[in-house]
Amino acid sequence: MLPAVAALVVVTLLPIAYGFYLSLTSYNPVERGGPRFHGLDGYVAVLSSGQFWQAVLVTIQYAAGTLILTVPAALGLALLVNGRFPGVALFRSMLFLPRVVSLVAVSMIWLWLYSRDGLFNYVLDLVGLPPVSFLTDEDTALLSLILMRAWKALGGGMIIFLAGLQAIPKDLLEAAAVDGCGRWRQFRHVTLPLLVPITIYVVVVDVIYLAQSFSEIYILTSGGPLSSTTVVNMLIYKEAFENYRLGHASAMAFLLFCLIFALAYLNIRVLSRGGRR
Amino acid sequence: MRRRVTLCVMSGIAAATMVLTACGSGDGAAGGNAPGGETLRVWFPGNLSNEIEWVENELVPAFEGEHDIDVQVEFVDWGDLSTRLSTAFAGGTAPDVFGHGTAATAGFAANGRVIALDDYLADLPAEDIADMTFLDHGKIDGQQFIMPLRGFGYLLAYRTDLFEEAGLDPFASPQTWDDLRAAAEQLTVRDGDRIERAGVILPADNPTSMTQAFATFLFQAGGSFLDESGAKVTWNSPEGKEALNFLTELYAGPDAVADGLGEPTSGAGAQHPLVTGRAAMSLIDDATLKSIYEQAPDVAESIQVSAPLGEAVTASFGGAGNGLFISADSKMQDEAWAFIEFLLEPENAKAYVEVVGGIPARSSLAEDPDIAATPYLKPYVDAVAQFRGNPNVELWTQLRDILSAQVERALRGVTSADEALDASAAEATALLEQG
Amino acid sequence: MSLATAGRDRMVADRARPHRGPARWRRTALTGMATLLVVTPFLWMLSLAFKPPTEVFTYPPRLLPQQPTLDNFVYVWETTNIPVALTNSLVVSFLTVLVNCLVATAAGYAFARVDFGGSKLLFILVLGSAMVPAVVQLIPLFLVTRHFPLAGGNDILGQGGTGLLDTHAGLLLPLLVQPLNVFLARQYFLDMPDELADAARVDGAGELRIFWRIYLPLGKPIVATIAVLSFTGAWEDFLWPLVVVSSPDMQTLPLALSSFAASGVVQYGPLMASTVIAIVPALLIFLAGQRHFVHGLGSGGVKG
Repeated sequence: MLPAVAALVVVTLLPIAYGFYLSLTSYNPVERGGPRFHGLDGYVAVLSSGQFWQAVLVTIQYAAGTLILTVPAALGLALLVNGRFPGVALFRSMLFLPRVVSLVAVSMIWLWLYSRDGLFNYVLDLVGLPPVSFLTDEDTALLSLILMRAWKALGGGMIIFLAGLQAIPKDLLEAAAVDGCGRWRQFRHVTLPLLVPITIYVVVVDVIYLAQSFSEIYILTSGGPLSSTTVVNMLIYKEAFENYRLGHASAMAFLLFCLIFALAYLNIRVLSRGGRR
Repeated sequence: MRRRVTLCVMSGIAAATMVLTACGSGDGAAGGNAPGGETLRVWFPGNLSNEIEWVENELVPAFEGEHDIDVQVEFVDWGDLSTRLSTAFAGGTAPDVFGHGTAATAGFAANGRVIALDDYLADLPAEDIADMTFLDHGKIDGQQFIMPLRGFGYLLAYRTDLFEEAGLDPFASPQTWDDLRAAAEQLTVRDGDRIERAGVILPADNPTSMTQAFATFLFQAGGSFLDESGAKVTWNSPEGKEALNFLTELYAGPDAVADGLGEPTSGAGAQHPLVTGRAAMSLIDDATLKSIYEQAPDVAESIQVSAPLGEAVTASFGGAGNGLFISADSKMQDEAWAFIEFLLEPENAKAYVEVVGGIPARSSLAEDPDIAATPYLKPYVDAVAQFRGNPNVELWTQLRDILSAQVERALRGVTSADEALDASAAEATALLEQG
Repeated sequence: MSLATAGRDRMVADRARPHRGPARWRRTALTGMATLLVVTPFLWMLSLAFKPPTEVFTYPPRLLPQQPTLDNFVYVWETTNIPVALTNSLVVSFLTVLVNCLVATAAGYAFARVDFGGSKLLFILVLGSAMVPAVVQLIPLFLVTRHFPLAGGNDILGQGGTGLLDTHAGLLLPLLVQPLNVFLARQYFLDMPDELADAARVDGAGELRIFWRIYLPLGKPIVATIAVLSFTGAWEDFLWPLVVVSSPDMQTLPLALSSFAASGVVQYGPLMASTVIAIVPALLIFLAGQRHFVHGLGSGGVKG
């Protein structure tokens, strides 16, 4: 136990503690002399910037949109492949594929899928519809990103739900069947409540990941058009590594942390109440 | 017992944070050259495989053979460069020599991260210095901080076959804005309200490249980003507004002759609108043109590049591309300079652009038969005198981001060109005054 | 031991009974369609890996290469850093899996089933640490790695050398304990029946023994899941390797891969070929992990 605690402290909590200290400074790694303490100035500056709040809104939309698509779909797929029928092992692996494909390569492919001469516009053309500027129109860009991210997150969610389904004692379901429950009522009253802890995990983890999204957005839209896909982590990255204002970026990061924490907490509360009912 | 563990954790964090804080602030003293010794560490920006091959298999062995200095080169992709430099500066592990765009010069110089190179330059023959292209773009207050390795620029390229199709003379390229607009109108192909083929497109992948397009027209109108002192914003001058209005009209309304804002064009090669036929003319940089020649050689044959347009001034956006700095913490500064000097020797400067592309670092190479025979280099080399770059001020990237956001709004028709420039100028002025 | 087996037999999921007749095939067809939809983008990646540069992104789009070629694979394997990167990624990822499977399950079990002082706070801290964006942790973690005592020429105070920079250990450092795996294990053990432990406690078994002999064997699906997730996490990690690695010998796959998608010029063929190569180990891990899901089902079918 002790080595584990030590590792935990050194590699996770310690850097965060130092990062928090940096958020109270005007640290710029290019400048000499290290961080200069300036208290809450960084937080005040961030909280009073319209850009930040706009990014918060985009982040919430992005995370919520992706979750709404992913969670039911992942659960559906898990139910579908939780059983024995011809080809199930193959299907599971195929469905899991997007999870293990490099995000950079995935983003490059979707960049093409969405492009003016890409697959999606080709299909639209085949059925006689006008082309859509998926990523370059401020009305569709965020939605297009959400679709791609949901696709990427599907496989991971699926296997966790699958693991959860495996943990459900068989006799409970049998008892329900004996009591005359149909498949739907079995699912609604036995399976679903028992899946609550694992659903909490899926949702919370997705919130944590999604709210920190960066790479795919950077490749697909770089936060544009008109900042319609600029999420908080993108602002953080720009502040830290384009403007070298690391203190400022750290303050933003801890505000993002608060947002994620609030979202995660909210989800846990809502979901566990839903489960108890 | 568990409580004790928690307590240990807490005090551990506290103690270690204090140690770290000490390390972080003592970066300069602790750091310097990475321990490990007498190897010259060099970071090149970019990740081009043929560049890596040439540097590692030819340049470095040749240098080591001549100088008895071990060189260790690392290539860092442009997008990752600031991340790497931040951690390296913080940890005191910065390399002896590192490459970067010139935009970063003022910031590094002001913070004493890089050294002035004037003493080294003074040892070079005067004709050598006169031969070096865009040297001025690497100067801050008259001092040389970065040595440009190559230059870049934007010129107007067009499809001669589409010119003929539209009844235009493929050898009479547009000379003025009016010419450009007229040709674009004739070249535009519409399907109802939709543009099937744009008459002209600008580099508009992202707000930054939109601003580079704006810069081209701003300079042609006789305007500038900042005044001579670098402390006053001038991009909202009448010239600036004239330029941005001209550009927004290309995109606006039923008479639009341009589209595709946000679509990738930079380095797009076979997917570039000029190649796919989605555009007949394009303001294009040398690297993108090179990618077209490499990936779509058939189409490239019918592409012509014209000299910079002249309105009030004959000019275009361009200048020093990437260059090399010597780290102020380096313990091998003389060796570092020897490496840079070696790379800038005429035959290496030539080989470098032959591999990587771009305008060679020596103007004498304009007469070199190989360079003159390279269709994607020649027009840019010829236009060297007309290229103008960004102001070398410390806050430039932040000022540019402010301007870019508004330029995008104007091009997309969310706001008028005049309002966009005035609003960004006000915001930028506030930032400049704040310091 | 008998307790454990009994437990496992109880823990068999609902749809363990194999479907029979047409229902089986209906399900196959349905799943097949869903799968096809999901893998479509991937099919295009696969196709690009086998296309020569001239065929990349033609219009109209063509899935099957006209002149299929292995050149991209040969190029990637023989002239780039991919083989070295593959080895490094394998070393780092396997060690990550090993440590995570041991530590995360034990910690998750403790958080779920053992009430100890400060456990709530510690759990929130662990979970919270996953919510702090990596960008902030980058420089502190870099300093920790550089000043790691007694490594890479450092003295006991962490001065003088390069610490764990540019080493496998340095790469591994932030991956050793992945908070979300602890969270996953906790959630899993949370809905396990208490009676198993109660029975064992009556028999006088200690907490560690109960975990090791009873709950861990029941937790096979979750160990498998953690193995798969921590593997893919390590396999994909980009930002940390980017700053900690400085020599080609230490490059990991994402770093080597990104060089094909460098700013300006994208080499689609080699990028997709190496992506396909990079998928293989991750997929094998998944298949190995999935055995345990299937095993759980199978044992129920046979013994239950």
